[in-house]
Amino acid sequence: MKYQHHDEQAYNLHLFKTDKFKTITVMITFRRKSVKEEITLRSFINQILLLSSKNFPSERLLCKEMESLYGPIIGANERRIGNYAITSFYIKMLNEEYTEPGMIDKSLSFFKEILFNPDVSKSAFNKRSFNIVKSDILAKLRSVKDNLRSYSVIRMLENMDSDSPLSYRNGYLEDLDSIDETAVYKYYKSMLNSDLVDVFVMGDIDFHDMRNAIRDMIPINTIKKQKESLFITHSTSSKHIKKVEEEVSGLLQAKLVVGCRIAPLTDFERKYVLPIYSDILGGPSYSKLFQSVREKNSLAYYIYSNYRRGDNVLIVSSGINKESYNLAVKLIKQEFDDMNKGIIDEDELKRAQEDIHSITKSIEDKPLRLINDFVSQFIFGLDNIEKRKKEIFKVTIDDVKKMSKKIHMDTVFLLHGGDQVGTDNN
Amino acid sequence: MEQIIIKKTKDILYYDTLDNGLQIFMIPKKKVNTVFASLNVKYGAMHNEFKPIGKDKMKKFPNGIAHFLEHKMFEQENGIDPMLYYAQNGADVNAYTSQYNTAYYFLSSDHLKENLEYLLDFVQSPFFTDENVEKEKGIIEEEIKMYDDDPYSYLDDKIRYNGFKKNPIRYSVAGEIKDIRAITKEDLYECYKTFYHPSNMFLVLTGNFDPNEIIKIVSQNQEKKHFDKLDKIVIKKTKEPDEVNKEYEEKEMNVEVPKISYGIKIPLKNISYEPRKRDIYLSIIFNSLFGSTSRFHEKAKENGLLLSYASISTSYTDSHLYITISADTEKAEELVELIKETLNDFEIDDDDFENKKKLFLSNYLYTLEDVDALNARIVNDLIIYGKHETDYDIILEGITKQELGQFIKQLNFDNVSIAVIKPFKQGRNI
Repeated sequence: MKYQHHDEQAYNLHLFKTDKFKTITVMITFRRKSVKEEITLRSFINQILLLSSKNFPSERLLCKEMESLYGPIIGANERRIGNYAITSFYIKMLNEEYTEPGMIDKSLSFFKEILFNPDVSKSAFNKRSFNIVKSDILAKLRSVKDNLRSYSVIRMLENMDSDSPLSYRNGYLEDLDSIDETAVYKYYKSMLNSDLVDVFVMGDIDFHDMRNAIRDMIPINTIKKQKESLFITHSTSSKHIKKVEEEVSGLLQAKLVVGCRIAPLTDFERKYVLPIYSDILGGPSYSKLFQSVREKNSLAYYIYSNYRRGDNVLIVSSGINKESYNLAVKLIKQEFDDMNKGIIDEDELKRAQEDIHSITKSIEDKPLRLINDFVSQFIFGLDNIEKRKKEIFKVTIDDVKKMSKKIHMDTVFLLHGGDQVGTDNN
Repeated sequence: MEQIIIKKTKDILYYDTLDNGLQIFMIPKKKVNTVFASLNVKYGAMHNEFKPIGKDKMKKFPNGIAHFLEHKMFEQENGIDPMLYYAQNGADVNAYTSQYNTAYYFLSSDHLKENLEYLLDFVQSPFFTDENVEKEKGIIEEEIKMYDDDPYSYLDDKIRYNGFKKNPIRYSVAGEIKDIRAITKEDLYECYKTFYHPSNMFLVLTGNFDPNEIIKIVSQNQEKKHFDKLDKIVIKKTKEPDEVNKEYEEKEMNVEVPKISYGIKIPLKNISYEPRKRDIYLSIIFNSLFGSTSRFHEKAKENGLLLSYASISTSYTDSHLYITISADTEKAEELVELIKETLNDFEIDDDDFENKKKLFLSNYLYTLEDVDALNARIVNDLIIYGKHETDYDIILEGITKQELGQFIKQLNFDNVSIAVIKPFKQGRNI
């Protein structure tokens, strides 16, 4: 894989040349500091642009055009990483040898049409498209409780720290009413003018030609800088563990979520020790929590931990029988204690290293995962994949033990189907 | 070993059948790091009444037993946990059970030989005890509760249950808690011995490996093991009527946004096209009618009847196809009306028809660069059609607008079941 970086002033261009794939993928990211009041408004952008454009003024026409181009995969998403809101747009298209000559140029022009020639008149987005997106957002916000697994995590985070960006939702019902098609267009313009922009291209490309193609595609020319740190730091870390319960009637399987704050980590810890820690504790296939809570005690169907690097938070999620609440919490605490005391054997460490090593290797096999990894490398300042595959084996049990002291259990949250559960507060 | 060259990409499909009947299908990809390997059993949730090996009489087993068995294969007599084994090799192992088949698979980037041998070893060494069967019941009960809480999986199960009267495909894959409680280790052994025979299984590998090497590893492994001769497996045939079991059902659940599922039971007896062609035509029809380029989609979105997209899925039996259209909607009744109208009176324009054909081609090419998706596609093809298709140029040549017209005449969309999930009347209780 060959890499070129170009500072195009208004944006960074990252070109990756590889003959590994049958496709070329382009990803454009827009980012700025996440502001709670802007979240709902911002969430319109990635959806409305994909619904219609000036030359294809309905979703039906837009999708028809896409199909005539052999169905390039076009997508967009909005997420928050630490203090930043990030909107990404991508297109994955087949190399021309599998379709027709000229298809790459046509597909890039189409991508340009979607992003930069929006369906706008009189400084407002097309009302019909706006209404469609608005009702989709409304439904998503209203149905946030329909996915109990993610809802329980959201509620845990809100109990942990409702002021911090780490608890921001994907949008807020109370903000929706005041948003109209003019406000969305105004925000779109402000994104083009003030967001930090990065462009990533990957595939069997010619560096020179692709650089020119992207220059033709992107009509952004404002230069900007932002200082806000990506990472959220926690001001306090109290010894007291918050325990919160909520009821959803009719729920058969209770959701138990435990949130931990992570104190500032060293570079090496953040890049390498934290993934190992989480893998040993609650990794996907085999972990302390899985063994203890599910296998030995049959308390849960699922239990795992994950971490949010930008937020400095570690989360344990599980689905349990609510009668087992006290026992499950006790077992989870026990596993955290073991991590803290360094009760980790060499096999566990080796397994976690092998797991992360092979996950890292498998990233390289999928175009969208790989290009997303390039985005993460850039945003988090991670090392490249080659280096990561080696460095992960340098983590020692002592490193894990040392880092454990920086992880503090903060909130224990239970979502259950009714009847008070006796909780003790030890 | 035989091979087929995939014309468009020069990839090669290799396949072979071992002496014990185990079939192997492989598409190597030199430039990737990983290998995806799946060991598949032609035994799924819908096969729960059959003649157990060595017996003359049909026997009915508790629903959910194929899925239970899949869980139990992860328990080994030597105490080694397959999850642990693979974790130590940096590989991910998992399994799933569908209505039609059971699959055990791993994704690994190193230690391919050991990982592959172990896949064959752990799936070919059952170890069920009264105690370990009891323990599993707790875990599976939690899994079932999780599905029952989830409105989408509830709806999926309900629409199939109401669509069929006799065919066991109507029951959920995991079974119900009372079914699970009735399962014994003897049941599990009987099911295992009947279906987990190499000649009723196949292995699929996609990714970075040498096919000759794989054949060698697998043959040597299989030669060491003894399998009794397997007679033909006899699964009870059901006589499924064309009518659905229940035309309408609604349920209040803890949801904010209502959800609907519209099931169409299509009798196969009038359809003269072979299954692959039939399904391509069906896919063209249903995607044109309900996909993002459809008038239905446009109208539903503009009138606030549809949130995000309508999703289409198909259940297969030997006498009927059951196609379901599912959606989140604020206006369930109106959306159902629009679906009915759309199915009663439609035409597919030439652009749409040609574009959908292009998509078949490009979808296969996208699949070819993704080892997991490719593996899943081969498995699915073999289960549903008995063959993995590699040349879409040729197939698509035979797909014509004229024939589509004839095909549509053979379709009967009259047998419909509708299921609706609504929020609690008095509002959400939280």
